[in-house]
Amino acid sequence: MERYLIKFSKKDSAKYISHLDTMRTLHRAVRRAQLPIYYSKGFNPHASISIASPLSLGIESSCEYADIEFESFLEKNYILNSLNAVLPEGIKIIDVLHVKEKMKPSMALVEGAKYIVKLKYDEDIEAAKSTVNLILNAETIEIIKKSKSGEKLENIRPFIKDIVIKKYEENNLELEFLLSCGSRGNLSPNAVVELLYKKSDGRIYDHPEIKRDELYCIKNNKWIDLLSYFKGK
Amino acid sequence: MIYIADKILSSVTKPARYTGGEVNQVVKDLKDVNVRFAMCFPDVYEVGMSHLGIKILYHKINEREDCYCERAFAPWSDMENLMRKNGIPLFSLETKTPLKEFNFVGFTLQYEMSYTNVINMLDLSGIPLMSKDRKMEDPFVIFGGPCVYNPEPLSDIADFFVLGEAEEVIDEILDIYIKWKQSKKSREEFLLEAASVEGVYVPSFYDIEYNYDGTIKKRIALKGNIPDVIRKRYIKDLNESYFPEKIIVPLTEIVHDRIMLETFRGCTRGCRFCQAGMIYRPVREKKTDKLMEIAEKLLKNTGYEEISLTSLSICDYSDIKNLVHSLVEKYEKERVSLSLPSLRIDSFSVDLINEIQKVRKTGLTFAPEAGTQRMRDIINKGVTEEDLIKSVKSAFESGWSTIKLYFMIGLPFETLEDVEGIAALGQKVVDTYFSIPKEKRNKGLNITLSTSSFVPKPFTPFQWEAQDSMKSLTEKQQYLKEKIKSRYITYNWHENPISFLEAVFSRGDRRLTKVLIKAWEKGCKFDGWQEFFKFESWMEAFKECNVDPEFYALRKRELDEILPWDFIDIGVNKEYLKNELKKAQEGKLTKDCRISCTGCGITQFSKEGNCFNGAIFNKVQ
Repeated sequence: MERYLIKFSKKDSAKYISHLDTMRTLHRAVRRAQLPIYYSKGFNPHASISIASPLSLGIESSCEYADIEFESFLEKNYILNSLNAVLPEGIKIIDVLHVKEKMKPSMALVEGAKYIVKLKYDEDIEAAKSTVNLILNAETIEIIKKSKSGEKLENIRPFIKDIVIKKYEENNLELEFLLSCGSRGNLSPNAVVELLYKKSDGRIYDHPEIKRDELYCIKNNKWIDLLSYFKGK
Repeated sequence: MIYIADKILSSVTKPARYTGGEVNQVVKDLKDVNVRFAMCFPDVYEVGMSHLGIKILYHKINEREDCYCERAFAPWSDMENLMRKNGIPLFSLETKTPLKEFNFVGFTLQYEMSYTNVINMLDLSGIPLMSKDRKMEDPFVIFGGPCVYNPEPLSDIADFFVLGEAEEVIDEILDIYIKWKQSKKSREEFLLEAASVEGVYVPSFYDIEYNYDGTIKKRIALKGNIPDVIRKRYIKDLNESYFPEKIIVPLTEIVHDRIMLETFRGCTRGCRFCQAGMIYRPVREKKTDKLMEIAEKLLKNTGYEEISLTSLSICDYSDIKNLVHSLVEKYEKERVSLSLPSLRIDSFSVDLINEIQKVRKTGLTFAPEAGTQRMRDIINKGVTEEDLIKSVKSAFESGWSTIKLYFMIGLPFETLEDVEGIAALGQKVVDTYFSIPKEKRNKGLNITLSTSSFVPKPFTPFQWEAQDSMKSLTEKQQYLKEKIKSRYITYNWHENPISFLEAVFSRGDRRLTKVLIKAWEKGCKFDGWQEFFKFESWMEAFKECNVDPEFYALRKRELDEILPWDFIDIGVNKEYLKNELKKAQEGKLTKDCRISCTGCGITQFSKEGNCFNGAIFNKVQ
């Protein structure tokens, strides 16, 4: 059994493939490519593919990661090319890494994510900056979180690591969000977009165009992208 | 091409229903094609994409270089609202082209309760609902599928219907269309040409005269040179017929998310309630080696992990044991699972399913259809209580503990004893379970009894019979509920108003088109979905159109009445159906045609009308 980390992108209409359907789509692609996927033993065997971090519907990504195990060693380019030949439009394998050492599943390592968010805004850039600062300077930001057991207030401020205005041209505002991601704390970029709408009194507006740009884990107290982490840099 | 904003797609449920772009979707350059065909299924994506017929036709049409077939489904209500609000017409998934720009808009009609969705989809496309209102630039709206064996309720909407297996006809239609397009003649000229193709029915070329009592007096042909009788078309040699090697793999989970391997068409059992058993005659099989070949290609091209062997009654496939063995042997290592969706009630079937599901014992489903032997004989379901008890005993001993049993209530000549018989049979199944020593059976007994309410269908021996009233059906359901004592039994039943409407439209005539449109105007759509079904609106529509639904659903027809679908020839003759009805009344059985020919007429219907084409005779069980 050999473990690999694959990095892939989800673009255009593929952003509307849900997390579970993405798993199914990858699994079927592996079968079409006739790669020797490893199946768990036991009563109800399942293919050993797991995605590092679920991506919300409607968000593009250039940095999805999945752990995948094969029965035997395969050349990384062979995996990359044979999968790309059979994947649907919009999903593309960018990189493959053979994980030789015993490491935790990627899912357990992910700590944060970077998102590029495009919104509309018509006014002075300084006002946008102060809206962002309103969020960053707040000690607590409570939002109502809905779950199966009901609604409860949650402080999401600790999950917002940074918000940076990257570009402002015409009325297009481009921001970068650094947010907690993973089992120890997770915040959807859509929740931050909602905050921006609210704190700017609607001056920041329109349906956001969101792209996940990187996934991070922590090494020596620093955020490091998943692929580099696995490469051991 | 239509652009659908992210804002819209992000705010609807399951947006992957509307994006297209699946693996094996056919992509063509529009410059290279002469005919554009929109294959439509009048239900939501997950349902439509689960249907084998449109997959076959989609790929078959796309085999032609001069044609491009694309797909369209009914948008779910959230998407429909946003489309209407933003002025987006219904579009094809492949190229996002408005349906109005296609040359053909073809619908498959699988169930009557999808008719309002057809109207809604035409309206969303901006295509005139009535065929008489369509102009030169509008598409031809055509229909196929089992419901068109009584096409009349949609006769004002359809430009034409295709009767029978469309794979056999579609090329002829497309060829005629291409010639006509070059000739620049009128729409009517094309329809006249199309009407000369066997299996094509152009309703606007006929008129109906009615008697005072509302029954049909006669059909009048309005044009010369058009057939009085429309003969169904069917594939003569199924083994050699077209079957796609690549099928579309959806990006969102659909209802039947697996390979459907079609083993044979037709059925020899002759159950008297069953329309499929009559209209799909003669029985034609694909050979095992052919099926193995198709399975291999489909597995490779789709990545699916499951194959479902489809047909009307899979255990009747003449080479079933060999087929199942071969598939299991070849694909066990690759973890391909097999499913048999229609189990016969006998130990042979249970042995077969045991072989397939060695580890995971999910539920088993049997369909005794009726609760007493008397009733099962009336409907010619050649199954005895002993067969069922033996089968479930063998299933329990093999480790199954969840069993579903399907029944019908409201069958012709039914008495309360027959209804009670369903409960009694359920109890006997429970008793059978407990008669097996504890160590030989699995825990967690769970028996589900499910009843649907009988809907008389055209081209069956019961086509003349009245449907049971909703009141009576409700009483029977209540009665049955009271008779079920065991806590191991769950009872499910169908909603009677839906069955009532099904009965109206399955045996309806031309006067129902206006009711359909009226009901749709009142907001009726997705009538097969409980959350959308508006029975009161339907009843208002009937009232406002001055049409009595009970005339269609609850009236027993005289044997000499002209029925709305009498002009269609399915190959099984009317005398045979009458005789079967008589035998039903007398409780007499008709044997399986494999034992000896029962003379239904199909062998005389066509010169090549060869029953059991492809079947291996010495293996017929």
